[in-house]
Amino acid sequence: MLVTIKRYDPDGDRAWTQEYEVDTTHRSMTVMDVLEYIETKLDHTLAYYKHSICNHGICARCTLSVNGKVKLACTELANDYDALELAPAPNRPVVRDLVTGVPSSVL
Amino acid sequence: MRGDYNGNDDIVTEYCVLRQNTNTEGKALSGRIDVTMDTELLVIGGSGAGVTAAFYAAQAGVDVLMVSKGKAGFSGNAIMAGGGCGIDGESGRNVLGIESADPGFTKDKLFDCLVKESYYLAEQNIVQQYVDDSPIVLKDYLQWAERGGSKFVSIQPCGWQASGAHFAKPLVQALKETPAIRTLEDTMVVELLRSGRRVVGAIGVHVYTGKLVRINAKAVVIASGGYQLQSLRNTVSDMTGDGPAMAYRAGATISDMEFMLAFPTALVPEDMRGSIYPYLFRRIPHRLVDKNGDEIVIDEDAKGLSTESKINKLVNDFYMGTAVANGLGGPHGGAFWDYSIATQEEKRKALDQFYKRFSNWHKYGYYKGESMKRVEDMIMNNEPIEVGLGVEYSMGGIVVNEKMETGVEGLFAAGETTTGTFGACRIGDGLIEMLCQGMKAGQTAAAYCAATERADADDADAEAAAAELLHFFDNEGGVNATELVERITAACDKGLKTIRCEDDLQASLRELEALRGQVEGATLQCKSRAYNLEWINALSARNTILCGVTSVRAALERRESRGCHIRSDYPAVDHDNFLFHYDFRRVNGEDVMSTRRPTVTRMPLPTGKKENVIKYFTDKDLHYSRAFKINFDN
Repeated sequence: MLVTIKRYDPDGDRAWTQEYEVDTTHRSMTVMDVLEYIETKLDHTLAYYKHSICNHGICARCTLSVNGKVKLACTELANDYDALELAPAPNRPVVRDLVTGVPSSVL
Repeated sequence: MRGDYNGNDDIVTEYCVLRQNTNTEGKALSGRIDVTMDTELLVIGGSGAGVTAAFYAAQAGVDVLMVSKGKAGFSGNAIMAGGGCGIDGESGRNVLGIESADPGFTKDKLFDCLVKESYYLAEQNIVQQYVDDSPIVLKDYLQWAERGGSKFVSIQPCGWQASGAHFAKPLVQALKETPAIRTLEDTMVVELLRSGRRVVGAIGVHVYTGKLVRINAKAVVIASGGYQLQSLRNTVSDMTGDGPAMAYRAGATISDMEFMLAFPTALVPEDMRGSIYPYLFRRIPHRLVDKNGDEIVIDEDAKGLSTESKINKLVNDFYMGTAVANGLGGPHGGAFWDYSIATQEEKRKALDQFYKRFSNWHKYGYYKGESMKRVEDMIMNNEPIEVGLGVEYSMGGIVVNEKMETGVEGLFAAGETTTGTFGACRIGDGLIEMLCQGMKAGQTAAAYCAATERADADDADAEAAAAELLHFFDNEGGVNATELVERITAACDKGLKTIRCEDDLQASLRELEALRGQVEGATLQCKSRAYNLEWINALSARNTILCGVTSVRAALERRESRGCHIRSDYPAVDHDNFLFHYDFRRVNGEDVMSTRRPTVTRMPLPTGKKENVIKYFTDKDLHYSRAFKINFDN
């Protein structure tokens, strides 16, 4: 499956999209599983919500845009899609890649 | 918008003593610390133990800063709770005025249960604190719950069932009602700061910005949870053992590290891995089968222990774990639950009862945020479901006394990060432990703060500690931090199985020791500090590796079985030779292991041997019974 991710690096204020190929034919995966696969196997630099998350739809920290709709990465089935287009949740300040929402007052 | 956090946005973090890039004289710092904050009491952790510690310290008039890795009140494992918790019915009736409480389940009975469930490895003075203080803290907690809109369902003899989020809401409410508690969220505290031997603050990393935050305090309470080291876990993502590891590096003793509680956890559908739906569905009639479809026979006397009590977890560990250890596990490493022994009507009724019960907190047909439809189809179609044993809770951790003092001046600890309440096996409630220990730690630390002058760490020491955190950005040629974490987890999986043996543990220890030598050289591909998961992994690895090494070392030395430490090569519970804790302390940079007998206040320690961890419980001479039943019909 082709996974296209909107990326952002705050240090250089650089935005780009990046494509990854993830094999979802052999197991069912959530979008979170796909992101974890990319992070651990393909690209260690990818940022998505991973700290202090529940992974079962309780904490809602992993909110992001999946093919244009706001979803939770941990409960959204990747296998339901032919291709994934992942972007940060809209209308929130982007911290890095898919991570959003740091209140501007913090530090 | 920060997601569905039940009002966390109302917790306005105030930084009244936050000084950007200045030192205590207000001068610009040239060093590596980005922000310095001052407080009297630093509480590390934002779940039940942290919030209660902060609350009771603030009530005593102490200035408190609570720093949490996630959202304040919603951080940590409380939100993952799946069932209920409770106290003795005597206190329920007399202290809390709960009419439905069963006073027959007395304080003494609860004490007796906890000690026996711990395989006599509990510290009895700490169990006494649990029994005595839990009704007191619950008085406040239940009021926060009411005002915070938590929905609790009463269970016998005196308990409450809810979803994890509803157990966390009262904590958020307590913070909301106590503006004196300042909070700093999304900050991973990574190292304690000392002045001489006294703990006087800490350094944390603000995860979003990567800024280093120095906190100066008179005292520190660690309430940052436990360590889940294996890959199959049903907890939040970051139980990396920060508390035990930080405390250890600061001179505290850690103990009982080999004991971690596991219970039936989802392996399939693969995207639901880690869900605890199998445990919640245990009341739907089923039998255990192995990969060949042959029944895994549970001994008759053990069956009696099983479904209605949390001993169910241990029974499953023993029988499912043994089948897997004998090579009879499925492709995902689990055993199978076969629901075909129930009629379609029985299954339908049980599922509907479950959904109805849990629709108090979740969408009908859901458990937590996940639809149960596919699981339900498998059950109704008599498709055996492969189920694993996922880790939930670590019994081991920082050694404390009944006042939550660690033995290191200025350092206190509470909740899962400590050891002492549950010994070798937790059947009592981690939620109650977090609340009553948090309260006690907050009170003790507040008294300490009131009687003590502030003493700051040397700036040079703080800078050196900061340099150690930042050096990963300059590393070259080492193992990538993310890959390192995966290898540590794999090495822990190898040794810290549900059923353990010498060869596995030896292989695991060899790997972990080798990996330990690679942690400080771990490399980061991404060189930016903002939300850098590789860096967070490197910092976490320093903690998980320590927890892993000490867990495996103790598990190797413990040539017996006890509670959740089950060895195929030493199946017997051996009171004569192993009824003690394995403690670890750092002495001159070395890990020093020693043994310590449990503290006895009321119940003498037993002698002799029991055939295995199940026979320990079914032995009539133990005189064990816990009146804890959930009535699913109401």
